[in-house]
Amino acid sequence: MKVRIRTFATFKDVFGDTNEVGVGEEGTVLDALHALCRVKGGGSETLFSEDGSLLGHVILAVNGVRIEPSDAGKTPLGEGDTIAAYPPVSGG
Amino acid sequence: MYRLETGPIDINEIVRSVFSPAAGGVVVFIGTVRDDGTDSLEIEAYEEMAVSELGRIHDEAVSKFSLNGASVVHRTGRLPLGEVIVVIAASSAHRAMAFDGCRYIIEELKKSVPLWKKEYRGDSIRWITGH
Repeated sequence: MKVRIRTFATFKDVFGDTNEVGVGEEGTVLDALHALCRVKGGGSETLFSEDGSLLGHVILAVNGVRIEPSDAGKTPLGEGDTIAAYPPVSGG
Repeated sequence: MYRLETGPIDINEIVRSVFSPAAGGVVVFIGTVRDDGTDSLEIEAYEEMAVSELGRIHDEAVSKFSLNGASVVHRTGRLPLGEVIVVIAASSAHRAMAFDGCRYIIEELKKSVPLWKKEYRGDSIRWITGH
């Protein structure tokens, strides 16, 4: 299935604003983020540590609702879902 | 009232929006672009989520501090030095709750609303990210 991944701030500089990636029927948020790095041919150091786990400062949302990064590998996706990945916020 | 604004914020409109006959006080916080060597800022938002997060924080503040009214408006786009970044107004029957409610909104905004500042300083451009 296809899902969209939007990135912001420093992450957008690496991946661009919006990307569409394909994941399997049982695909998770984590799978989609790995697919993003494959599609873009890099950028994994922005999201992942050397052991493949998500870096602690990565913030994730699915369809506008925050999810815990530790749940990324067990959060299922549906066709057309939008994932957002961004660094800590700095408004105000 | 809670929203993002692409142009200058009308401070008077935001302050007036929380006036209420039941209120005994209005507290206002205005965040501005500070001159610490920066030439200007650009503010990026994940707009849909930023607005919904502002709404959540607004509603929480109203409920938690028994506010009569609360408004929060945040700028996006390029802002020169001294420009208004955010205006928050809170009204309540007594001043303590208005102060606390206003403070709650700015502190929560800085923690969770998906907004980012990009700093322009001479030839250098860099994102400011939170902690």
